[in-house]
Amino acid sequence: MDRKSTSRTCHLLGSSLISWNSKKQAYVALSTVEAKYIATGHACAQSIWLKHQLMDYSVKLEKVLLYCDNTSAINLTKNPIQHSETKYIEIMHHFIRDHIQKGDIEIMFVKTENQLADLFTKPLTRDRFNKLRTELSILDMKNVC
Amino acid sequence: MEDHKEDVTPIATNCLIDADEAGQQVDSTKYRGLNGSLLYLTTSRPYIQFVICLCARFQSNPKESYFKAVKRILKYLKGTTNVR
Repeated sequence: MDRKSTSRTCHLLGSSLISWNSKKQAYVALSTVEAKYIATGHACAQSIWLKHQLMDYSVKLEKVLLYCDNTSAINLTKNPIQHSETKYIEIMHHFIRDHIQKGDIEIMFVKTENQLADLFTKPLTRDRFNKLRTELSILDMKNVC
Repeated sequence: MEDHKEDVTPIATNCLIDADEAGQQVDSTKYRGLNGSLLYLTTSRPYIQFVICLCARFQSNPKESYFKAVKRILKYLKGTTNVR
């Protein structure tokens, strides 16, 4: 065991899944909050890239909504003050704060049971697996046709 | 593989893949081939990404237990050929 977390993200445009990622983090996170914070940062970077890409197709997005299932991590992104508990987080991970202040990204809370990205990091039970798979608009053709 | 039973999920919830030093060695060419094909499949089936990436971390020294996990993915895919 190397105590590294896996960050997972998925990006939806409208209701279609357009980009997804599941990657082991390069840093040892000291807390769940830090791990989530790093993952949110990755998602933010990808969203900004997608935003630029869409600009090439003359689609202008005002604010990208980013869903995170950890309230502490959300508060961390909104508050530009250094807490003693979060001092150790590497500065590069704080770039998300900047984008939130500029209004490129808006961060929202989502309950764990509705967290779509869970599909990309853990072994799930049958019901949950099927539910999340459907929510990513991957359908069983038996039920559709 | 053809007459195997289908599985409902690509991985067991209690599945723990570790170094497995004592495990029996399997043919690494075969293991890598399977991994390669399944990794390619993630483009159209994103929901197996986590599982296959987990298995793909052990390509240098494949053991029987990882091979089993890969076979489970195949069994799962067999049952979900109409999911897209």
